Amino acid sequence: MSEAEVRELLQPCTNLVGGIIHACRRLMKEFGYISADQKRILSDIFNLSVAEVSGIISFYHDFKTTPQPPNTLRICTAEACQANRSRDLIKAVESHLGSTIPCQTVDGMTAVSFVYCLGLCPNGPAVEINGQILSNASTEQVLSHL
Amino acid sequence: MTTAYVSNDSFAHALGRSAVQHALTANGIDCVDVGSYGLAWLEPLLEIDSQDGRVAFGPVTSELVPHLAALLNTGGNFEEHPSYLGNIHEHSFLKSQQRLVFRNVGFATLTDVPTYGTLKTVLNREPQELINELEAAGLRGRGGAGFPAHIKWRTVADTPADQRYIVCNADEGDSGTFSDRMIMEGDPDALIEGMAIAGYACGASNGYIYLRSEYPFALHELKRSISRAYEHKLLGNNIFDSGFSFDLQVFVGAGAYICGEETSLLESLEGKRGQIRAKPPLPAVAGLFNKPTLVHNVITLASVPSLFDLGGEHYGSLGIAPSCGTIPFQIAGNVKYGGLIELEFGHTVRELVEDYGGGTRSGRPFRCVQIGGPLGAYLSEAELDTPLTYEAMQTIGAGIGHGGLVVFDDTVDLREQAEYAFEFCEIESCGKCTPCRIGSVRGKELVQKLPQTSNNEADIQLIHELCDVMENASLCQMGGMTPIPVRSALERFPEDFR
Repeated sequence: MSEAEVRELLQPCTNLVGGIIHACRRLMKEFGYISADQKRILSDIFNLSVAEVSGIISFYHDFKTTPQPPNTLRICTAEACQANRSRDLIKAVESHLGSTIPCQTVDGMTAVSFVYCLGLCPNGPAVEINGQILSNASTEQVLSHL
Repeated sequence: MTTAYVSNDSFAHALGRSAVQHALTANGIDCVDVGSYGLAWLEPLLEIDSQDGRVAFGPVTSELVPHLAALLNTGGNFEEHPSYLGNIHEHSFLKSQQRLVFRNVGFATLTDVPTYGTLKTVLNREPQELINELEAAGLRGRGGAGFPAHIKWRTVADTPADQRYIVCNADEGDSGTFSDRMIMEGDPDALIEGMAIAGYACGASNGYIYLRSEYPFALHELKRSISRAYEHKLLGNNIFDSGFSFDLQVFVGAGAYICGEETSLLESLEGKRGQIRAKPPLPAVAGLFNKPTLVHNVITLASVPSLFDLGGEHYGSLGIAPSCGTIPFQIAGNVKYGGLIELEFGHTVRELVEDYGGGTRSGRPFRCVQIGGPLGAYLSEAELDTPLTYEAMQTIGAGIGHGGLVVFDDTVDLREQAEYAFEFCEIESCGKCTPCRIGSVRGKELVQKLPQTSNNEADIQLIHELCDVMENASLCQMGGMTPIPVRSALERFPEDFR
């Protein structure tokens, strides 16, 4: 996508309250991350320094600044899921992956990370796979996606 | 064609609702989306019309649908179906509740056009009169702080300004809580109507719902309801020809627990890092873009229509004053029967954990319950008879928070939980003040090394001192309340720290 096209993509956000957050979300949706060039464009559109833009992006867990794998798997790490043995699930996944979460699968196809609460607290452990939510997640179920 | 009223809540989606829906359609049964009654272990739950009213089935799987279809086609006895539940309103979990906020959730069809009858009625009254009635009702903020709502409303209304805002805090991030999500997915119009009423009372014509990004289903329902409300002129210019106008938008957060703190939320809404602001000025005086802003949690605002329908005095007579009215509790974690329980204030923790929750799901002995999210206290068996009011909970060093109760069995290690409390604060701290930003890191390290030290009394003393600093010197409740889970674990379960 050319710079002009990126600017066109972000143009509608400039009229919105909190526009830069909307703009970052658009970039995440379109590209999966926000590049250094795009930070510069954001700084220009929203009349902020690149440092300010970087500060905003790095504050929020949802925004990434490096290319992301096509798939995402997020395991809830909150207390209600801990009460339903999510710590065991996390240990099993980490031992399967051979590294600690957050990380990627060896083939680079899936980003594995934590999420703090999906609001499914009576039916833990909760997992989100490519946006699909899953309650009572078993280790086997989760490993089958990795 | 037969109609099935199928729960469209995230609970149901996470337990295979889409497969059930496909099976229903394949078997010639029409699906209608409804909210969830909040009996989480029975999801996906659906209801079918019968001559005796609606009959419920749950949990339903796609494999069980053909049997249901066969019973419908042959006029067979529903009770033969393995997931037959009968009249859900007679279910002991639901029957004993006092549902005001959640009065429509479960049976009301999500695609029905609402009337906003309460809004229509209150638009004929003076704003000041509404705030007086809110005061009589004794409604307090349901987000955690329990601050009297009428004081906020009056401050916003009385502060001179050319623009005022109503902001709904829908950044429900606490573990063990899902009532905000459920009302937004099951009856978003209660929230929208409540915000419009607040707008009229406070003289605000603009509203924002700050929704966390982890709730995509809630976003879908909110958007659907807001655009429908605009279509039917229940939002926008000159609502009900009263001269009152109110515009409402949803703003989706970007993953930051701290944005549930009202000033962080306002910063984020303004398109900045979600770092907290020092108070004063209070948001009610200078909030969004420095204008008077009413910031309330979802349940507080969604309580408003039912409160005015019931009348302030009647509402205020519920519960144990000054903890008035009803609150949707949420029982979660290691329980047999988890879900949403709306009750008036004053029931005991034990009633929720044992009578509703039915004991642990694992079958192992109960060890503790954490009340009020990640910044809430861990309570032991000895404290289960405490009544759930703001005042009674305070006397045992705990709080109701957002009404979430998370039950743990005897496999829990409270040292691990205390470490997690610090770690959570470390990850989610906005970084503005030192006690929270650094204290959380040092606290985690201290708790981590406890098992390696033989005589750890000195370290435990140090943790207490660190907690004192965080409690007294943090700018907001994130750092200020992290000591609560830590200290409650240390004091009630010292054996785990040796």
